Amino acid sequence: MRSRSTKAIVGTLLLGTVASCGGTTEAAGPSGAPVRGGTLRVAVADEPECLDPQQSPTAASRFLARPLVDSLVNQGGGGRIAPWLATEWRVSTDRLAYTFTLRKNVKFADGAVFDAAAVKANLDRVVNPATKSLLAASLISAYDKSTVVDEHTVEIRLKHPDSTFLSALATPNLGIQSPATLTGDPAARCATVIGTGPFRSAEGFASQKGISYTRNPDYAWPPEGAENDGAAWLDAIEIQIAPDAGARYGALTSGQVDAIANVSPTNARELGSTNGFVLHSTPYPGIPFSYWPNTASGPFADRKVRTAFRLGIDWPRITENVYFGVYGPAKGVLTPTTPGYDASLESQYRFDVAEANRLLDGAGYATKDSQGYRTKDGKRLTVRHMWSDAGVTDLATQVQAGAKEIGIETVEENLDGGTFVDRLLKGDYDLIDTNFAAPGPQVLQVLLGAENIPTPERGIANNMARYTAPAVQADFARALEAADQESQFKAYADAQRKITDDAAVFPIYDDRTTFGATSRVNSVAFLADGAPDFHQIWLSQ
Amino acid sequence: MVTALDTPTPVRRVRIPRAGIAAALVVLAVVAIAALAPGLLTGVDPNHADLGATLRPPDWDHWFGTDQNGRDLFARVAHGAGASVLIGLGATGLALLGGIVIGTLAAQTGRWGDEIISRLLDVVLAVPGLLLVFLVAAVMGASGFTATIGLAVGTVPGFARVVRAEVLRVRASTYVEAAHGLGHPGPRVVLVHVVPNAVGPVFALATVSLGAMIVASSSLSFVGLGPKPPTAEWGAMLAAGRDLASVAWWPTVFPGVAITLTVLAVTVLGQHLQARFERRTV
Repeated sequence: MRSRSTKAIVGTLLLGTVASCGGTTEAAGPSGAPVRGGTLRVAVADEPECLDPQQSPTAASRFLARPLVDSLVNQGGGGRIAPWLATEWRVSTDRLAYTFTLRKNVKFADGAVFDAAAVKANLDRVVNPATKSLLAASLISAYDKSTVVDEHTVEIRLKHPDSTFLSALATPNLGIQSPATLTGDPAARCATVIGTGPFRSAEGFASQKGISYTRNPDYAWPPEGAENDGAAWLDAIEIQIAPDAGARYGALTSGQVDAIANVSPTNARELGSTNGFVLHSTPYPGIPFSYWPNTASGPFADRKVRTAFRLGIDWPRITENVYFGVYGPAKGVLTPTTPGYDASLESQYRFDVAEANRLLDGAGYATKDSQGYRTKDGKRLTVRHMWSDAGVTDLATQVQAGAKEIGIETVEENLDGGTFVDRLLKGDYDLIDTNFAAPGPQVLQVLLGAENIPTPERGIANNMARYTAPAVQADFARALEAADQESQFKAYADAQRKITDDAAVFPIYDDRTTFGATSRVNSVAFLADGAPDFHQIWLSQ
Repeated sequence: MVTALDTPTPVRRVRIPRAGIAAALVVLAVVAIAALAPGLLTGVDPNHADLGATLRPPDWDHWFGTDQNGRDLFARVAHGAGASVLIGLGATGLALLGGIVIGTLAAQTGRWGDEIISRLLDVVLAVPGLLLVFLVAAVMGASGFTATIGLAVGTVPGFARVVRAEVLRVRASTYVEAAHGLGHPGPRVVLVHVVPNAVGPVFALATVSLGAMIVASSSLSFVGLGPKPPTAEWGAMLAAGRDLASVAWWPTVFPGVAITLTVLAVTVLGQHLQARFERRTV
């Protein structure tokens, strides 16, 4: 688990863009006609430093605010954008103006009416520097201004075309809040969030305690295609914070709660075979959990060393050892559920120690020292894996052991949040790890685009591989200019092949979101950012 | 576990059978070998991860099985003795030193000095021992060293009180009066005649508290305030194995048994020494 504090924020910033609604559960509960009523008690791992997702970058704030706020549009499975608070929209031919027609008869929990002025107030507040938005503002960095055309029509202008704009609007971070709550000191708006969502929370969020929601009885405006087209089935939801995975699991199995988020792999395996409980789980689209080599300096600047590291370590075995089959081994730069995934490259992600050793010999690391590590000109082949979590994970321990087999020393550097960011910006590391949930192959550019290398001038950005290969950058440009999805995916497939040939990333496992629940909890489905969709969950009585 | 740092006050004297003492000595001998020269017990590197042999149950190759990273648990338990026992020993040693110095000072500095020192000791005593260690770890960073310091600080007041009382008792004895009467200088009398005769009980107390210290140091490692991974340490091994308990029992049971046996042996021996000491002095 990630440590809270600075790293949590950094980590989340790096985890960046995620989309909103959609996705399916793979372990559906018992079927039947939904029943109204009941209180769902849930234990979750993380709490946000601020509930307001317009301010907070954390996944926890998105999770806890989603039941409270609706968005203009919804992003469903396959990345499709569907109407929600906006019933339709028109994009100008220069892709700079979006005109939204808003749903009528929508009310905020405080009684205020949802209208064009409310949309403008929300977007203006997000980009206002005084709001100190740590994610929402960067999601709509292309935003220029909003104009109220009439009560139910708003025109949004962008500074430059941005194909991710609608996806951004679909996130809880751009969820629409009551205008009355958007004024004043943003720091005073961290406990309660008032939106138009299927649930309300009068007391809001309290650190260490959690948050309670009650049903919004008037709710009649879910996203198009929602399974439940009216008010939520649940009377109430009570969410408590339990950072310890074992404590959460114990709370579930002893009946203290009905459901838990972030089930640990061992617990997940156990839960799946326990009567009366169901493990709900769905894969993330986007980029697998991966190690990212610093391709700009150090040993990994050499493509041969990178390729040897990828081929010479038995990543699937490590994944199986650590995650007991709950997460599958990664077979590409993208996860298989990501639109535009190129499955033809899977055979390149194989385990081949002989080839790895041959490559390392060829790279000049042909001699070994007394401890069995390879050397070149008397210098040991050492790579520094930098992170800011406390302790060393089992995964890191096993990667270290795997690398040693091919004579590469991996040094674990546990840094405090400040030092971590400082060295990230300077590029003073050899390896770094992250995953990245995203609805489409555009995420490749976020993590490997030359314009996204973290530097002191630019600040935190996601190209931690510091990758600049011109051919791949050209593919990214071609994808953005593509006229249709087919040619766009073709450009991204070219990029995937070149990135694979170049070993610019070491994909390890395909992340999944997990939600363990008793079998009384029905109709569990996931939003694209991993939170369960509480609007459609119902409890057997 | 949380009360581990409270000054032990055995309420009942149990006469320990000779076999029990012999068993305790055997256990402590093995632990001492493991702590000082683990290489004599196992030739396996405790940090060598065999990715093809994770979570193996105990067998002839791995007497205690392997952990989730394929590391040999027998080697880790053997090598873990060093960190676990040395923190306990180090903390007890430091606390003894501090307790003797501070206790003697309190007894020797007259009414005001005694009052000030004793009240300060009361303040430290009022803080729960493990809380004090958390404080030290928060200020100085978590490591085996800070755990040692923190545990020692929490134990000094208990020792100092006993030393102070003993110094006052010994000082009133006739041979000390005689030494003064012979014209020996004050500090010399304190160092040569008073202190050596006053520290006996606190040494006996220290052996009993050593067991509590070992438990406390394991507790600290359990919550991540001990030596840094991948260093093998019993408490940290318990913590790492906890999540796997439903899948594999051996990663928690063996370090747990090691802690239990060691503490039991130290306590048995401590009580025996205390009883012998009391028979001798009373």
